[in-house]
Amino acid sequence: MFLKYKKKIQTILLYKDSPLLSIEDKVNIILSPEYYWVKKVSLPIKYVREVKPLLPSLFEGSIPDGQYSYSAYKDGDDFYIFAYEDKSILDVIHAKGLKTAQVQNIYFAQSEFSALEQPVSIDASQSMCLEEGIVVLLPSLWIEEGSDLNISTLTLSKHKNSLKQFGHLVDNKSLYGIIGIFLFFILAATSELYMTMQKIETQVLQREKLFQDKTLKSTMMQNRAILTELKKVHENQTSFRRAIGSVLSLKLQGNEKLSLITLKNKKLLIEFVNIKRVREIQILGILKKKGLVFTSSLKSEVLKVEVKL
Amino acid sequence: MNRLNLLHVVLALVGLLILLNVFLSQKKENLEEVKIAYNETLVISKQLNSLNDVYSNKKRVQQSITRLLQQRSLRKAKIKQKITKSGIIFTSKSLSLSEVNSLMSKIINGTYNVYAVKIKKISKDKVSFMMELRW
Repeated sequence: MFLKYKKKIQTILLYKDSPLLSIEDKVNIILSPEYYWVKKVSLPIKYVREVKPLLPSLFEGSIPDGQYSYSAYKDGDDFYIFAYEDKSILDVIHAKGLKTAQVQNIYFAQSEFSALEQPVSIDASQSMCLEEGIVVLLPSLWIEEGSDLNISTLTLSKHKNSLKQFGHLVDNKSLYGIIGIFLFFILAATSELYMTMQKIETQVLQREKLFQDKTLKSTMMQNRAILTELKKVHENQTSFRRAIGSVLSLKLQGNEKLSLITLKNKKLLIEFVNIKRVREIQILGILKKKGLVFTSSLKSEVLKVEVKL
Repeated sequence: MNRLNLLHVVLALVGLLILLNVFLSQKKENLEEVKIAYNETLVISKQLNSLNDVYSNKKRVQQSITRLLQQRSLRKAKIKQKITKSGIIFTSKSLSLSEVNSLMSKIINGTYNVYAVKIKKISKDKVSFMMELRW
């Protein structure tokens, strides 16, 4: 069995004149009333989630213009509704020497001190007290009797709030629009991805079918090698037919005869008999004109022509 | 502060979109490669088929040669045939010039793989003949 040690997190009250803090650990922050606007309202609705959409209109015209976030909680039959500026609060937190990451939870003084029985002084000049259920800050001079604030004994409520770090840059409505646009692009990219994968699968299947239908060898390397070999055969056969055609179309004179034709090892050997030197030149000239590459010899009126195919 | 806010959602969606696009571009490259491979296979298969049919189709060569030798001009020629594993060899100790002309013109104008030939004049109007066709 494992026991988890839970370290108690320090709670601080943040107000305009609160001292600079030098804390490294996480802290819970209670915001004094000067950092939010609060209203206690009675509405003919039951749940907080139904109130939330109404919050901006409930504050409209009663607070200065600004980039507000809203929250609410229910207490009995009444709702406490809040408007606050995230950026202003974050600026104060940073100005007091705290980092955003150190902040565990944010609370409003309203929710944490709603059960004050008598005013409490938060420093020499200011005190907090309840006025018709609303926690307010007053100069201590106005308070006749009160006690010092002992925040360490305070039990925090469940009414936590969140701060939007970049909320002042873009409002929620715009963010929903941006999210919608991104979702559209994600959907488009996903469907394109799906179609591309389908196309790949189809092409692969078509290629496999081609291998089967055309009875190709299993690898392309084998098929390329066979094709190269067949192309060589084709070139060789074309050369042979061109050479033999050229030789057979020669017009021999008198008793000149073609005595031998052999084809072996891609060499075509032709022998003519009764060929004089003058005729040798003429015959070889004709063969050259026809583009044949050959070697020749004339001995005892026998002209041998060897054509390399 | 730890709660997820909309900006985090936007950032997550941006990340997802980038990942999807990277994956998509990889798949598109794959598709191009597969298309190229298919086209290459198609071209090679066509060339192989046509060249095989011309030079490596044993059945076609045999049928064609049988028809050729039964033609009127060659029917009386004494041509021996020997079929080997790799091809067919014709030999004749004595062919007339008209017979050899007829045979040669048909072989040369046909689609055969002529591997070896020997035609030797043995008299005024006779030749000895040898030809090997391969498949």
